[in-house]
Amino acid sequence: MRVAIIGAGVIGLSSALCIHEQFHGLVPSLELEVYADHFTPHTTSDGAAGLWQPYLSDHGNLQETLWNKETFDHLLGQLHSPAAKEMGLFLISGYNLFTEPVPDPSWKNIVLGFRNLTPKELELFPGYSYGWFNTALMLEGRSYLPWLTNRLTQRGVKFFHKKVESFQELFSQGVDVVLNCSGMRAGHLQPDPELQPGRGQIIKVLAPWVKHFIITHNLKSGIYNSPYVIPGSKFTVLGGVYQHGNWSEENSAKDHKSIWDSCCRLLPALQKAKILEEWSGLRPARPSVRLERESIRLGNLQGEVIHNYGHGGFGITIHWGCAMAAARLFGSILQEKQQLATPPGPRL
Amino acid sequence: MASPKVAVVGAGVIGLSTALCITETCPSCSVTVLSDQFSPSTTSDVAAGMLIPHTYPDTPIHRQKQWFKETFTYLFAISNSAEASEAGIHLVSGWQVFKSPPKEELPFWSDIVLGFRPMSEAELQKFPQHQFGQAFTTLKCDCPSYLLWLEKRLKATGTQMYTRKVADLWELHGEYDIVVNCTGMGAQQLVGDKQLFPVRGQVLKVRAPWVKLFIRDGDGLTYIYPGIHRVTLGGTREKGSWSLSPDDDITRDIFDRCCSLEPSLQGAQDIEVKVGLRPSRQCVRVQREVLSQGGVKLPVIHNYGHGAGGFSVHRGTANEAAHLVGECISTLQGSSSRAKL
Repeated sequence: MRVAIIGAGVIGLSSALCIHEQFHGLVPSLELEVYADHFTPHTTSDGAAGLWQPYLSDHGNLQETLWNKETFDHLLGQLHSPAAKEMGLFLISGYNLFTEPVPDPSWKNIVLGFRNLTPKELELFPGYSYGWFNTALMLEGRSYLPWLTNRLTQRGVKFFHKKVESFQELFSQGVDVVLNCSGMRAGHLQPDPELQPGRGQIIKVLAPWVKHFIITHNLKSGIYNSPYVIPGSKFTVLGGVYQHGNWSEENSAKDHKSIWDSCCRLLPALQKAKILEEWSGLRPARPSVRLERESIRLGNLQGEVIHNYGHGGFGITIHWGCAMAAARLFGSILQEKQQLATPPGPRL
Repeated sequence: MASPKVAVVGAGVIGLSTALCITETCPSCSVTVLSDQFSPSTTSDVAAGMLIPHTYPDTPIHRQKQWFKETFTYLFAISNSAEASEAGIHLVSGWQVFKSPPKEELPFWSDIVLGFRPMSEAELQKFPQHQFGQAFTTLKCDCPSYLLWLEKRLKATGTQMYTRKVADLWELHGEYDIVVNCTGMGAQQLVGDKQLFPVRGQVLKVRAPWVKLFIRDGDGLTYIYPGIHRVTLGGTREKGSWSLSPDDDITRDIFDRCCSLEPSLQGAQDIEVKVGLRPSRQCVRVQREVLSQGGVKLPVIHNYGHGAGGFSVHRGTANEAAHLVGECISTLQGSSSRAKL
């Protein structure tokens, strides 16, 4: 049973791991292969700061909230394991700031110690009159992806540096199931007008005195179009750009200035921070995550695809819940194949 | 007295902050700092610099609270300014955990730190050996940076600083009009204060930049305080010990205790061991005294004995000491005018 995973970002690698963990014992012939043209540290996941935090509202999409919770609980359980440091996993507290009162988010009971900000705390952030404090998790892509890669390699999963042009390409090589974790470029494999880039730009700085994440919100401009500061283990990420429909991965001087000025207004001490690097990436935005099976048939070729893409700016936040769901879909594929029990024959 | 000459003895956080307060409240004063040690060799340099007050048994609580409040307010403003990184002041959030319920549910400083509240059940699950906890946000001083920043501020006011061992306060008579005694542990010998005793503290300073939250055991013995570049792991409270040499068994013990609170510390690098003697006393001595010898008087303002709570109350006691210096100057000016009559 050959399974090909397209994409080696957080979604592809975690889905592969989840499937291997759950099924390698049950399916002796299980062979997993990861195909990608970008590997860590050049994936979208590597550019993300790594903060676990969903968007403000799940728009009634309870499934996504559950996947977020599954991810948080899974990571929290790993916090005390010796692997935590290697995974890039650690606790972090911080602030969400608003200019007006807002309803509590879907994730208020998932994170630790969620509460409103006190008036004295709000004094720290002139211009903001309402906010939240909570303790969440950081999962740094630049550590987590190598860790996932190591776990997969240990398990005998093969990696191929290759740009897959179509699902058929893989089926014609004898792959039985494809996991489509191609993120932003899923549209090249199968048109999906709902998938659009949410372009982001970040400045990486050295500001080791910053111990909290600070995410501001401008309800008019939309998510992540307002300054944010996220301290990592090696550098601090300054951001605040979300440009829907913008495919450019070039750094913009205008965005740089906007991010720098707004973050320094938020935290005056940042003026003394040393700038390390700039980066732009495309959040694979979709009204909802596409996580579903599809049977593809083209002439004599037939195969199953499990789509798992469109995680926008919350890929790390939701990844494990989605990986588990993808594994369940894989399980149902296995069940059907056994039930159908077709005699072995040529697969073209 | 046109320009009163004030000598501040001691260049730890107490000496430097007191000197600075004096320049602020008495601009006409000429202030000189004298110390046998300057940063990075003071007791303050070893301290983690966390703003979590120590309770002094014999100082009235309202006074301790006032000191803490003034210190917190002062540092809060710095942390929120462009100078924060140079001064080494930053906010940090975290948890104080208890194996058995604390004596007081609400410490006197709970409304001064930010967001103080009991820990939730979910948060406590991270600490299986602890039953109760408090979560809050407070300030931390990166001590060597803060001391350097204070020195820089002092130099800008024209304050002179000299390395000099003062063996007897009377040495300073004639040179200076008022002496401010901020000698910490040194006061035991310098002014013969037998109520002052060392409480030895050993700490580890490690690199673990993924640790963003502080964790403190309510017994005060085990703590993890993330600073700008290093995390301070502690500690010990060895009453009466004068030894400044690191003890390897204690190092191992501190590391183990901290790892049991925060397992990821197993991956900490570049462990440095430091020792400091907390200049401890039942109450902080912030007091005016006039020494007398052979008909000659020497006004002295004492500001020492802050024990485990130096950083937490430093600005408040510095303000009080500076105020006493002001009173002293008025007295001196009053008597010199009377002398003229």
